[in-house]
Amino acid sequence: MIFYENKRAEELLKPSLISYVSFDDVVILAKYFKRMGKNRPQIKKSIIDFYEKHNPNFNEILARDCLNNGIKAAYKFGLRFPIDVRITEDEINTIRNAGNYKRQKVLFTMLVLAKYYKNNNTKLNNVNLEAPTEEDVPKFYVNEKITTILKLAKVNISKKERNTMAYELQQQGLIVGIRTEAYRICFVDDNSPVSIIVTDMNSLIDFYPWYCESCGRVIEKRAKRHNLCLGCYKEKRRCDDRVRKY
Amino acid sequence: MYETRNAPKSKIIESELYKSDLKGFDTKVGFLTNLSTTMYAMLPNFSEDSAEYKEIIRRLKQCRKEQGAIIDATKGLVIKPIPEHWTKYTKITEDMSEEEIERAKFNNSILIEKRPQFMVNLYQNYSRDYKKYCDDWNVRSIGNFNIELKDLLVMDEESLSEEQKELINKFYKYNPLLDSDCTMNILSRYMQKKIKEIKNINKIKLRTKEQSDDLRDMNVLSDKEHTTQIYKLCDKYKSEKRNFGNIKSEDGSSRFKTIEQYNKSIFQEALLISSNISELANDAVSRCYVSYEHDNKEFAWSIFGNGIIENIKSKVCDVIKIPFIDENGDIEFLGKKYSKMEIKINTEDINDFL
Repeated sequence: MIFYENKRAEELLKPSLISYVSFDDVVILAKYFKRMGKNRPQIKKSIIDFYEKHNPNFNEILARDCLNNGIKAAYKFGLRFPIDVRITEDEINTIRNAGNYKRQKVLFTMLVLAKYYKNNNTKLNNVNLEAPTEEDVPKFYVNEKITTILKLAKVNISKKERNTMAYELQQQGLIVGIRTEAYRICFVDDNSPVSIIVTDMNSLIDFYPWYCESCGRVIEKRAKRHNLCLGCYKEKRRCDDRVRKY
Repeated sequence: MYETRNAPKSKIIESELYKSDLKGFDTKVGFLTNLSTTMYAMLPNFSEDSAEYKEIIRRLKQCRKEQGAIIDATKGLVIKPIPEHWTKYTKITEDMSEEEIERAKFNNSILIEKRPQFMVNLYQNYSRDYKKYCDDWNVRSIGNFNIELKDLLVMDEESLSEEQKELINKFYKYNPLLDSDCTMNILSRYMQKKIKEIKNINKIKLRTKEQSDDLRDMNVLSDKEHTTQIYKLCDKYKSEKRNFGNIKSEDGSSRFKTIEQYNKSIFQEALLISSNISELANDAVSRCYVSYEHDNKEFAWSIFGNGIIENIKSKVCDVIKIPFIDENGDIEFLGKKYSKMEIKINTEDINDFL
């Protein structure tokens, strides 16, 4: 997933060898050249010059569909720039009540992605025929594969667990599975105070804090089984000792 | 409906023959054939006495005649387009008479809008669309019942709840392909089932020890320490391969641009363990085929492919067995009997081939 397209375009334009023509890269380059003020033929020429320079196996005829479709896409969507994503306290509370820590991480990732794409919409010529009324509630969607979401959330679960998770989250009314690669997030609440600001989308899950399983206080995770704060851990040890004695 | 006229008589002029060729391009013959195939697939949905069945048969006959006409179009015949109400929905409006409404409803009931299910094996786009359709409904099935769609579809009707029945009905109703019991669909289902069975049999066969022995050279002595190091290298390859682009060099740039470069560096690391390629290949094969038989075989073939081929070469023998037709043979294939006969071959030719 490419969150920061301008950075990606700048990286691509640095002198290096490119082994194949990727459609995603062509779209980003087309958007980048369009932003520089070039028209369609100029964009095409710039992209062809770029690949001829960096890819010795580049063939303009074989890549024609990729180039034409990429340029067409650049006239529908603009270049995506970084923005911060704000997660509110109510949303965090909902996530914390959703289930185990893996499930919380998946839900947090989905929420951040939905907010990022909603607030960073790059669609050009976006003409709203009817102005939104006060009753219209903005809807938040994640259009990504569940495997991509799990990867971003750094969660490794089996297919069976994945299905159970999707089922239970839908039964709780937190998400709605519309189709493959499309989920609607139903617990967005922008009215409460901001709790977390996600500034780097590539490591978005690092912004989700660990909470003590007993008292709910934020803790610093040090080991895989380290789930309690110091106070709760001491209390747990005391109880365990008492049980062991009798 | 389909009016054709005779082609005007004219002298053959060699320099103008290309014009006839041009008339043969971009014809609707393929489209019309597909329409006919679809109509054949629609027939099992109606009883033989119904008006729909009779109308489809009439249209099929018409299609057969027009197929010939389209092929002959290069002679100069004018072909009228296929009637729109065959393939496009007729909208019922208020200003239509009762007779027109009845006719429109009838035409809509036998609309040729879906291609038969077996066409997923012919056209990539149908296959892709159908797979996506199934995946979409799978998400709904899991979200509502925590059951995968493929399991839901084979459940007994008695054990299904009302909601589950509704989901199954909707799945079939909005299916982009026609899943009727026509001959080709039955054949397609049968073939897919059989191919699945054959694939499963081959999978089990490939994992046998004998097959992995063919890829190893048993004359090469193995070193236990080398084997351990190759196993560790394989684990490293598996963990790094997916994100090889993230491996940085000293100056901070990506160390490998292509997977081939990364494979080469792993091979060079392996050469530090042992300079004997056959030994390295033996260890890689035993890692991928024997110790972890369900594992991906990419490590063995991408890194030590040449070594494995060397091992196979070393096993080449100058006598091979080939089945020949023999009335008393013990092998039966396609109605004929065969028996294996030994043939002596020149091993140099095999080495050239390898």
